Amino acid sequence: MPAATEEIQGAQEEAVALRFLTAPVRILSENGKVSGLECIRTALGDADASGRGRPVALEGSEFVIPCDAVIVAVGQRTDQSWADQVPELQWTRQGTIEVDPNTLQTSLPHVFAGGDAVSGPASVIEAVAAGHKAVAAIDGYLRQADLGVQAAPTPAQKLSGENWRPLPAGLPAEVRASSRRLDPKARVASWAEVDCGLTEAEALHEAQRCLNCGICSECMECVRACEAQAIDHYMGAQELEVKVGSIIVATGYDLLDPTPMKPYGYGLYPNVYTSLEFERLSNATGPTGGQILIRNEEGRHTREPQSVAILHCVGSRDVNYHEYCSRVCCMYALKYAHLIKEKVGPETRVYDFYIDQRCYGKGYEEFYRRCQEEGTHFIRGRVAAITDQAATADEAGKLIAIAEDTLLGQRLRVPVDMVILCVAMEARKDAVEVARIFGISQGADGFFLEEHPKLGPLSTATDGVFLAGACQSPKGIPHTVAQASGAAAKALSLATRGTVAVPSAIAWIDPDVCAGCRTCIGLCPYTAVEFDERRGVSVVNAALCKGCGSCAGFCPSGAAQVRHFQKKQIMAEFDGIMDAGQAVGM
Amino acid sequence: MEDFEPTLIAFVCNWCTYTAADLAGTSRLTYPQNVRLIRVMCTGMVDPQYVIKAFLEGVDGVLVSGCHPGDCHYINGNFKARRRIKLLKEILPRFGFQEERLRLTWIGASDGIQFAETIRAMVAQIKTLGPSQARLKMVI
Repeated sequence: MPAATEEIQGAQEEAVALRFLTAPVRILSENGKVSGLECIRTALGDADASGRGRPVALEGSEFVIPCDAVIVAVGQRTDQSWADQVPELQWTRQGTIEVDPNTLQTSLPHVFAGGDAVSGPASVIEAVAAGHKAVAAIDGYLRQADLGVQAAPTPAQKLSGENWRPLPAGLPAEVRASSRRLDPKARVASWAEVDCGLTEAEALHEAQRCLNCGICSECMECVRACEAQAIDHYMGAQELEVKVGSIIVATGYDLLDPTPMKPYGYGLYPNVYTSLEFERLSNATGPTGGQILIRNEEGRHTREPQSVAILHCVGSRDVNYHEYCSRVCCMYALKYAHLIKEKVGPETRVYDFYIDQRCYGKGYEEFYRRCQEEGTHFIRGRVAAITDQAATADEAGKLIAIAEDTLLGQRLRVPVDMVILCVAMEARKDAVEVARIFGISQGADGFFLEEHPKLGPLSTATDGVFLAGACQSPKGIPHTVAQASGAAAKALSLATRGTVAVPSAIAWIDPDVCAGCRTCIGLCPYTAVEFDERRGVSVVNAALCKGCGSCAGFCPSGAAQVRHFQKKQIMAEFDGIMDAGQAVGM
Repeated sequence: MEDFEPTLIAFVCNWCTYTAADLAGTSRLTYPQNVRLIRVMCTGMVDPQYVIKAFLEGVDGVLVSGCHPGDCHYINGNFKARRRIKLLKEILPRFGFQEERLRLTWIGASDGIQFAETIRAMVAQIKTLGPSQARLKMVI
């Protein structure tokens, strides 16, 4: 019986009697009404050409099933009434149209067929797939392409067994969730849906059975779906050598990891977030669809917070971490306070623990005022610790921010549901390496050093390398955009001019004196010294040299000298000093 | 010895210590007038010969001062200076000069006060060391 197992099971549960090897003979009637069905038992005969035994009626085994109604399950076959008009079309023995399985081309080359007429009774989706296949083949046929190649099925790929992440040993087996079904007694008496599906909790649990082992299985469906053709599975890492006249370094920043700051309990309590984590939480594309929810012990988002503490200057303005101010925190903390009031409700209590509110920009102070009017509690004082040890009944189940209000001179314990740490922006971990590659220097705080804080905020010590954004110092989006536009203009001004003016105080190596020891080549921080193999001397590239004199300070033969700071000149200056000193009796 | 006024030569880098000295001046800070500054672009260009020449000429102390580590205008010139000064300090005693007469410091452009302080401290120290022997013994 070619029915699905679950259908057969369902029928048996509902006490439907299945009679196999039984053939109907005739319907019995009494007074114009059905009274029974006469059947005959059969047995499987010898197998025919298709390997299937044909049922053979057993003589004398007739019996009657008494019943009031008979439902005839009529079979389906292809409508062949029109076949006579197309005598060239070939049909299979099952009464379907004969086609090439790859191209769906019939015995008439210009006729293609698909759907139930080819496959026999099947589903709509299979008919649609056949239609797609046939269209592709017709396209090839009209272009007179080789249909055999065109429609060859994709060969089954053998899995190498390397395309997924290894599973950790000792994973417990979890049973697949099955959907609940209506009780058989109830369902025979109603038309209600039998399969109740999974409940939300069951569906979530079922989804969590996923071991997430799959990296891409390379089914290539995304390639077909992407209309912009933006996906390329064969793209690999490649090194490009690009010749450029200037470079803008905009490598950004890292967020300070607050895990080592034990008193704040980050990583210990599920509801202590960093600023970027909260940003993600409140984002409409985030895990909660933009709802601000607190998490339970398992990390599941449960309900909206009734109170939130926002801690400024976590790792900023702190001699133990970073002495500098991260500059953007005050304003985004105000934004968070505003967002919480707006999304969760104005009755939500938001506590903003600050050292100083630095609202320095256009419209910023006004926004601060607005947040004050919205009822955010601003407390001047740093939080000493976050704890879950409740001292009173009010604090039970909450996180308690222990702080001092330095304006009131009072110690505080503020119970809250959620804590947001405004962590410091810091130089990226690979900044040292990047600085070395581009020949730029780093300040004591690790951020890239601009040429001059006032007169050269975009350029660096290396000509043609410019800075933009938070790699130079902590800054927000408007300042980054402004600086980046400036850096782009600087780069353009070099490109349009086409020539470069070199400073006068740069190094020069006297080729008559140079012994070709090449020590200066290793010393030069700008790789400005090259070796001239033909003459056997080192040569300074004037366009790269900045005149630091690293070469001049070491050169054993004295061939390398910085113009205007030559050894002769320094010695003369020194002699002058000594003579003048003697003249006044020093 | 009471009225011994030492002569100091300071090789200062253009970007940090020279600017700091400038700041000390514009801030009207006072410091001993025993020091003479020689401006160089970077402490990395101070040839050890300059220091030795100064001592041989009878200078009582030499200060080399540049940018703080990591702040060098030329990426790492101050580190090169640090290595050279370390070597110089090794060899100076063999010529009869106490190594304390040579000093390397980092004074940033905004450290005018520290510049004045450093000069004051160094002059005081050289005063306790007394005049350089070169001035007394050597015939040049």
